[in-house]
Amino acid sequence: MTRKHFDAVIIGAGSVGAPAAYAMAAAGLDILVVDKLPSVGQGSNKTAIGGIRATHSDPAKIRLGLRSIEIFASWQALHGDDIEWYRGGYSFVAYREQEEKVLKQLLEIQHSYGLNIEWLDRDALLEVIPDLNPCDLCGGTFSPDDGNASPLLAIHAFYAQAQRLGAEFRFGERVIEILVENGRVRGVRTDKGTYNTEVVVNAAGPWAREVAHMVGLDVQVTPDCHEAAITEAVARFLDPMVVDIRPVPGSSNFYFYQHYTGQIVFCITPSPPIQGFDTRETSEFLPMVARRLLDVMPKLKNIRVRRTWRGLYPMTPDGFPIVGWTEEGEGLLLAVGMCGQGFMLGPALGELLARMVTGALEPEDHQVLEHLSPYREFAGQEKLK
Amino acid sequence: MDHYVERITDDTIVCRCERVTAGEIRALIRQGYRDINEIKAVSRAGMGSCGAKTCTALIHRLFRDEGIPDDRVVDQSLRPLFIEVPLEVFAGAATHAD
Repeated sequence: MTRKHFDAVIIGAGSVGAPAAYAMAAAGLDILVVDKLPSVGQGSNKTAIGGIRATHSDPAKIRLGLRSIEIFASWQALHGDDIEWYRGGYSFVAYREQEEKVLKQLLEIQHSYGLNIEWLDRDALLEVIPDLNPCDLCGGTFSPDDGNASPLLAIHAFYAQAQRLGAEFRFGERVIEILVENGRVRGVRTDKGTYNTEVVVNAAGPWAREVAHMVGLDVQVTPDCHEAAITEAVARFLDPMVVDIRPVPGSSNFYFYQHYTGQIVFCITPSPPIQGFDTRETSEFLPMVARRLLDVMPKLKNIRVRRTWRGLYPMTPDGFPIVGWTEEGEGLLLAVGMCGQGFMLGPALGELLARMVTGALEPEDHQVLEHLSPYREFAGQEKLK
Repeated sequence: MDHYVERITDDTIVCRCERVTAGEIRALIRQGYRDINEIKAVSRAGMGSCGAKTCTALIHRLFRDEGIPDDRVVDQSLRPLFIEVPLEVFAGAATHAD
């Protein structure tokens, strides 16, 4: 049995855990990451489609999004790894007045937090996305600083850097117990050993609830399943991620973009939501999404679909992540319920978690933590999920 | 029978779709990679149009060549589709709701 002391043990080597390990190791902390799966990013990271935006509807995610974009965009220059970052922007398109109204209303909040986003009328939008179906198109938002990257390569980059800075990773190892004495975290027991620590970070994604249950805490994280697909690679013709928020039977919104390496990646939000851990592909998905896709961009009809898969969105009641220290046990840090945005929020969140553990919070962090508090009312509703 | 068990050279293409060589895979195995999903993530071997039909057996053989027993190796997920189909075919296809 191994017995060793760590400054923090992170449960989950995924979109949040890996960059958190990197940020904490960079802050000089002795870090252990434990994951029940056989290698890094094998939970939900590998099912993420790669979109990265600061275009949200609330100050906490906007702030985290802006910082994450800086980290992704500067990664290759700083560390050398190509993570396939591409600054193509995001465009929420409107084909009806009602969506135009919703999107324009959000612009005010977004501008007040310093987002670079504007409303483009039909003709201006068609200059940015020439292949959009012009019929009934009202216009859309365009946020040119957003982009995308490879979740697979990015997590490996964080993982490699974290290891270089001394962070340890144990894979295929399952946490069985979080050891608490007198209301204070003392360590973690796994199926392979016991590790002493005063800080445990729950970054277990869709499994966050069962991890929290180990200390008798219920966090309201429920996985819901989204389906995605990827095509063959074709020459660049599409820059932004296109998001269509119109609900249709079977799906609420859907979105697609062209990856750095040429493939079109597309995804829907099922309506009603499909809850649970089942990630088997469905036969309904491609017929439904192909119609939506060809309706918005008829040019795509000849492109061949290569693969489909489903991934889990760890949802919270109000659609916002849960980040904060628990009041029930000292030393337990929740970084859960990313609602499908763990990949895009992870790098900035990792830095925030590192500042929480070292006690070096910045003035702006307090507002972020207030919004994402585990003890908030959960009464609002995220408008740009 | 020498030519049947000839060593796969480093420049041999193991994944034809994504043009990944045996040398690249071997290097990852020697770095300690045991999960083929992880090899796939960093090298793209198995992500191409054929659906990992060619490379899977060859990657397993490379593990055996390196002295790694099969039970230490984690196989990759195989996902539909296994042939590429144009989007317009799906757009014209009936769903249960029809």
